[in-house]
Amino acid sequence: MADGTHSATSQRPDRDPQSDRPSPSSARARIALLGNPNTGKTTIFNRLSGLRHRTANFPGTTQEARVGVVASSNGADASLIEVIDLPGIYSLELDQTEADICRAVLAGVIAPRGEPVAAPDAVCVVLDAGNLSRGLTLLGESLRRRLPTVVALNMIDLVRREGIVIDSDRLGAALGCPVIPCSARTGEGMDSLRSALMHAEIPVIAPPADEEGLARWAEEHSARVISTPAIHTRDTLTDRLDRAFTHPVLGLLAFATMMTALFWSIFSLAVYPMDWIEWLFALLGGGIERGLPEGMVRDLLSEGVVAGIAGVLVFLPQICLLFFLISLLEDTGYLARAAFVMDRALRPFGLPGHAFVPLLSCHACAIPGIMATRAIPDRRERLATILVAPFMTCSARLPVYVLVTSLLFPGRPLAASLAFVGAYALGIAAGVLSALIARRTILKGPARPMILELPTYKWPSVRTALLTTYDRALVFLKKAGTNILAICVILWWLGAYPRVSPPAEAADLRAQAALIASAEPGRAADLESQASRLEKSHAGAHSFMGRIGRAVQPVFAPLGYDWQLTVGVIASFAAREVFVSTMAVVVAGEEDAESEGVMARIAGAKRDDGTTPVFTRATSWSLLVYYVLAMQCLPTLAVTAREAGGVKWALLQLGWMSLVAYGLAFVVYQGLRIAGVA
Amino acid sequence: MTPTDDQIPALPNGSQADSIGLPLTQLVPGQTGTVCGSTLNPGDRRLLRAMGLRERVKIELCRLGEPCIVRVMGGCNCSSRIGLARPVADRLFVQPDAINDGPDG
Repeated sequence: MADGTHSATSQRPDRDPQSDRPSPSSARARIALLGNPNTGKTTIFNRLSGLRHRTANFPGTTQEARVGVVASSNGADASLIEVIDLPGIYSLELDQTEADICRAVLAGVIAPRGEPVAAPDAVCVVLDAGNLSRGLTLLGESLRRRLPTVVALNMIDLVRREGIVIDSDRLGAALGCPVIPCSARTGEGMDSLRSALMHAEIPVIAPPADEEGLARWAEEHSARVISTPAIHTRDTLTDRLDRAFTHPVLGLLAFATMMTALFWSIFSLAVYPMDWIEWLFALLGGGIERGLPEGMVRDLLSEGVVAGIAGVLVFLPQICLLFFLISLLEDTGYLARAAFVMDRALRPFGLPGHAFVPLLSCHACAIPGIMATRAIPDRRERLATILVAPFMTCSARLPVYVLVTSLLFPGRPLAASLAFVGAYALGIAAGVLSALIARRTILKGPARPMILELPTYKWPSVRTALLTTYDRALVFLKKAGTNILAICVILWWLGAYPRVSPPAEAADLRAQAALIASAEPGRAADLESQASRLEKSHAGAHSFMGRIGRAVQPVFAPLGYDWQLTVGVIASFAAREVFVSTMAVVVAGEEDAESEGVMARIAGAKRDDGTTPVFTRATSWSLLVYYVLAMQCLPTLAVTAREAGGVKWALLQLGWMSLVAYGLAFVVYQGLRIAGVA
Repeated sequence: MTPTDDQIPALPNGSQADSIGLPLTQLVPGQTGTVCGSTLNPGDRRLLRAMGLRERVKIELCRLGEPCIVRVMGGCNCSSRIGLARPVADRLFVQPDAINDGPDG
């Protein structure tokens, strides 16, 4: 450019630095979005990129960034802009991961995975118009980096409502870069912002380098352009809401109500889409079975792959609902207050208030709960929460609880319910105590007392919540989804192979049935189904899964499990809910655990000696305790590895939970035997 | 009540405050004041400053307890609310404004 300034379009990485003509290649201008938390930065990102974005990690960290693509609204200039949504920070010079990452991105040292490593072509600093001087401090720090800059003065509508006027042109002239008043919520100013970003230039202004000087600079500039300084009015509504939400009693009540509603909707509303998914895929599997010739390919497709995909998609409704509701709650500003309420309860265990919503969500399913730990700012506290999250009783354990408590307390629903509640309580206790141990040993660190900005209360944006949900769902499908699918296919294969010839008794029964088929069709059908059951349980017993069960049984003998229970425990290692159906197949030869009489057959099943029941009282208690505490969910381990940033954390989680589960189940079983309980 | 020696707030240039303020937790809800320093560890101190709780900034104590809630009254109607755990609020020092309707204080 003739006047010596550099525009964003002349800064792209693969270009001749002497020329200021845009390169004919497809290199896009890359913009970094920088700003304080709660400035609506993410809403601006959503407005600019809509659905055209992806979530990517920064290499070597678990910090994520969203990377989106913006089509310029100016018809003449059809080039695309790429936007990176950086984490919200109060200052670039703080010693925290988010600030480290922002500094590194602006310096061109790091970039989200899949992006070329280079300094951004421009920075868009997002300011909250209602908090101008604080935002200007961050802007000043960013200006020192000498990158083309545009300022988005967001939430201008809220400020205008209070009768305040900000002279953005004057501010822009003083700062040396365009200041675009906008409101991402209403869409105002977005077009101007887009075109300003295309023509961003390095500001010539150099703000003071020291902290004090910068603060004064920010104050002076904001004072000059806010032309209607209003008297500070007491915001009594916010005060009253804050007092209510952080009140020791009222606050807890409000929180309990919110959490019950959250939890209930995840538990109950999600059931409908989950059922539809299962029904749809059962149809699909049936269609494949009818359409393809018999053989390994058909079985692999219908029982392995289709069931595997269903096994992934079935998590989606709970994940989507959870993140949708949390996003809404967070947008209102309520969650920040609630974090303080829960901090009191969780602090003694080394966990922060922010851990409560993730841990509660784990009671529906640990996977979205662990994903929700992103909200926890301190790394060690976040890791501790991830490690203990699966102790919380998830919905997959419920079929096992139902089975075992109905065996222990037949016809006594009150006692069974108490045992249920006890199981939940045991899980929670194990979780928080394990967190305490972790925080005193491997994750030792100071308990950071909470300092949290309380954003203004506002009506939540459904649009933002939907986009967040979409993000999280995509991330889950891409990462955890592929693992879960692989696990389901492997599980199926272990249970289906090797194929064995049917046992002699089954062949006899079928021969008998054939003989009497025309004379007594009813009895013939009975004999056929008997034969079928025998064949299935025989096949199950001789599959790889069955053989592994027999081989491993000595390990579980001290807990009171015979080989059939061991098969159930091993099979459900990959997914807990599989226990009941596995027991149904191995013990009763039934594939459908809900068909009539299966429960009775399972309850009456005998061990190899022919007389001792599989489910003695001591064994049942030991099994219950084991299932409360054991890590039996490979999909969760996959998500732990991803969210905690390494397989070693998943292994630690597996090791610790297995130790606790085995130990306590052992104590329970042996203790009951010594006490004379059968 | 005069703070003891180890409660003298640290100011950027290392000298002692001319007017030694009170811990935030000794203000009355609704009372305003001016921040004059803190005895927090450097990390927390920097974070609070970056969030707007720096020296010479006017604040109002909205809620006393666990947590304490302060309203930061930056110039020109800029305002934000910050929740502080009690141990943090105990170590933030504020020069209180006179309470209008109370006895001389």
